[in-house]
Amino acid sequence: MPVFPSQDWLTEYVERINSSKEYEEAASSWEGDLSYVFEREPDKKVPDDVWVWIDLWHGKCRGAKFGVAQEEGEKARFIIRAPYSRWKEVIRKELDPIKGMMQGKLKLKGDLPTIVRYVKAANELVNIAGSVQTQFVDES
Amino acid sequence: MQLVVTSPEAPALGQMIGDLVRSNIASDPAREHLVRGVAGRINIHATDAESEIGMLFTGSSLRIGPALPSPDLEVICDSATLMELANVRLRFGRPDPMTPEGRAILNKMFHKQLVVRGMLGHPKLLTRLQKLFTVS
Repeated sequence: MPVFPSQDWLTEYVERINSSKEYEEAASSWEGDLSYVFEREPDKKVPDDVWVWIDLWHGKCRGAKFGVAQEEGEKARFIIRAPYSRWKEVIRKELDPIKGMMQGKLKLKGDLPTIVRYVKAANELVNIAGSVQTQFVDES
Repeated sequence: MQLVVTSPEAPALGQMIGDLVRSNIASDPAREHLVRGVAGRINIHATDAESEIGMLFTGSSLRIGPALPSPDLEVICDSATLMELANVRLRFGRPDPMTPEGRAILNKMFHKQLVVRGMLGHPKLLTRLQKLFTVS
């Protein structure tokens, strides 16, 4: 079972994005890359911020990098960041990401109207993350 | 003077709505006039996020901050419905019933999953809010 966050987890996540009909349909016209930032929580075995970059294009993920440098990750069209334990809640579907943004628990950088237009695709990305059999690093 | 101002005291929902309105005006400057020449108070309550904000139309600007006393309009729904409201295509300033998204919104109003208090007394204010809010 892949550990979150890790390269193995990202590989499994990307495979699932690319085999999801629901995501492909919801994001059929989406063009743009995205960085996730899993913010450090040293007491939960995440000693440093982890940047993950994914390149999403017309309903597919055509590239992904784990542990990119901040300067590289910041070039993405969208950045979503939150502490590691918030992401854990999102992956476990205990926190809806849109609700989380409205509560300030997840922070988005990028053009908000675009995210609003593709809210179904964003929800699918979260559903896919939730479908990955995950071992959380602080529980391993 | 800034057209749309988000106060530092605004909750995250207010920052988000402020960003949305500013982006919508930036991409369609014709919407600027929607902020001017109208005075009114609107509160938006995202029930599941337990967050409420106030939008004050002063006549020359829009100020977004914490919830306001005695609002003219109150929009009450969950966060997903708020996103649907921002996505709906409008016809005469209202959700277009010819579209599935418009019908979904009207259905939620019928079932009180979306409550708009004051809409009969302040239809113009509601129209302006919808036009500023929608990304469609």
